[in-house]
Amino acid sequence: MMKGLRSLYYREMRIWSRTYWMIVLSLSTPILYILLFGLAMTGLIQGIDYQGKEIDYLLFLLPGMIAMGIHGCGMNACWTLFMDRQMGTLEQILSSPVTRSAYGFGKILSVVTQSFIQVFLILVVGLPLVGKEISIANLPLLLFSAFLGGVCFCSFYMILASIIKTNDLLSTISTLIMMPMMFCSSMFYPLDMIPSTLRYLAYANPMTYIANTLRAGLIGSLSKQVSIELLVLCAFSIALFSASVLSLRRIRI
Amino acid sequence: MRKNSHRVPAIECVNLTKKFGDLTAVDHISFEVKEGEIFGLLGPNGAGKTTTIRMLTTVLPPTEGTAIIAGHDVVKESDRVREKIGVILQLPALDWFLSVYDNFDIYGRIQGVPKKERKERIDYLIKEFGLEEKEKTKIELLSGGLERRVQVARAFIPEHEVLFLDEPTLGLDPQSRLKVWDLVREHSKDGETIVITTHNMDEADALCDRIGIIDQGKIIALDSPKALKDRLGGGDIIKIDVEGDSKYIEQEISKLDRVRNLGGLALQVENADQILPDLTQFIGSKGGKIKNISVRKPTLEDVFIKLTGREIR
Ligand SMILES: Nc1ncnc2c1ncn2[C@@H]1O[C@H](COP(=O)(O)OP(=O)(O)OP(=O)(O)O)[C@@H](O)[C@H]1O
Ligand SMILES: [Mg+2]
Repeated sequence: MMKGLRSLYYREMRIWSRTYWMIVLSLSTPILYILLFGLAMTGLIQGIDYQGKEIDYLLFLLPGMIAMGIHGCGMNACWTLFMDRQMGTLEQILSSPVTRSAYGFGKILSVVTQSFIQVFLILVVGLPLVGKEISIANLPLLLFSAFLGGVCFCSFYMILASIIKTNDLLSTISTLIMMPMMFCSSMFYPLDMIPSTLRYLAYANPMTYIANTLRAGLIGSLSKQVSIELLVLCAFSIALFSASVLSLRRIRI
Repeated sequence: MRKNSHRVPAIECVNLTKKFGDLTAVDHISFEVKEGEIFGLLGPNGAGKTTTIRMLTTVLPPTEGTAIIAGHDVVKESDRVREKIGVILQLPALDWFLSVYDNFDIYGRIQGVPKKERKERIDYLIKEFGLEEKEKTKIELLSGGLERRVQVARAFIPEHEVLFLDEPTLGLDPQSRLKVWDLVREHSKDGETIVITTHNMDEADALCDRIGIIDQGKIIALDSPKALKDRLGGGDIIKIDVEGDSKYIEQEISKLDRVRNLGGLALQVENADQILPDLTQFIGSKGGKIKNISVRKPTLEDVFIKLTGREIR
């Protein structure tokens, strides 16, 4: 079923590493958010209550920005899939001995790899900024959450790109989706600070669970609530992943 | 019976059809291609060549009909079919940001060619197609023809049972074109079956064992190049260009009995040398001003014009 996965993963990573400026570029948005938005907000928000402790807003924001970075990696899959279809490389791959699922898996694995690198880089730049060290014991939770985040976003954007064939529609829709995805979530603020309508929307948004579990991995611990959130995130990942496999099976060149 | 009838057919299509909404792009075509044969699909733009290849390479499901490639059904056993085929697409299908070498290498990997063999074949093909100096260049920096060279050359890395080439020589210089012809012949000698689409009549004539002429989704003739040309009944073709409207002259000429108008003042005659003086005089007497006259042997183009009443491009 996964024939050719290694070759396709190799291809994705090769393309990604050849466009190294994209790594820098995709890193700069979350970092800029921390520097500009984060610092501006620390003047407004004195401290934030998190898992019973009062913490700095910058520290609260950092895991949210990691989630944003992972989202950016997932979004790459949208464009590479679009380009593959546009250039004919998709047709070339679909007529070769590799399977369609392997093509999707290759993209997801490469997005997960990119996410890990992204997490690492944001931590390297971000941790000194907020003056915090990460505890090794929390690392598995952080990485697991980053993994699920990569699977979620990559699957979601592959579904989008396999349905929408035209460039302008695809970019309009993905920009449109990004707003609520970012602001109806716990990326920038704790959910009990926002109006209840927004809060309910946020509960339907995988970004919330990604940000929350990343946050627990970075500065909190695996509490009962975080465990439930992790389970919800698993459910989101499985659902989106299955849907993306189905949509790749039906994709037409 | 056919010369090679002891061989199993490599491709067998029956009533293969593809509809896009109201448009029937491929209309109940049926043909067989024998193992090791070079089969040409010849037809004007939009005739349905690429759509046919897409169905045969399993990326587009037929609306109707069946196709068997190397013993496997393109719908029911598409996985098995894909293990046996290779294809050069009409689209570039290259990885833009990767180097020439990477594009060869990744193609070989995806086709499942083992490392050692892959490397040998790539080095050989890069040399054959004169791409040594461009090995490390990104595709986006190549000229259109060089891009095409990369795309065509890498298709010969693996060995296939059936290789589909959709206008492989489009945009190639004469030297690379000949290289492709050589490779195609070589692979066909080794038993590979080749299906090639083209608008280029000379190419089809020189390369193909048999040709299917396809127009508006239908195969309107299928035979060896020679047999197709023989259908015209030999003789010479005189092509005349006149100034202004040729409709009237065409009408007048159709009244002559030693001349057959294939369409657009391409006239088939038994012997050009004998008839030419009379013909120019006749056109002059009807008020036609001749700009240009050329005489040649019948080509596949004439066959096409005769079958469809149109020029191929
Ligand atoms: N995906 C599609 N949706 C709708 N119509 C299509 C699609 N693909 C092809 N067609 C139409 O089907 C017809 C056959 O197209 P096809 O690409 O097979 O032609 P072709 O013989 O390869 O032409 P060319 O020489 O220009 O490559 C054309 O009229 C084309 O517009
Ligand atoms: Mg075509």
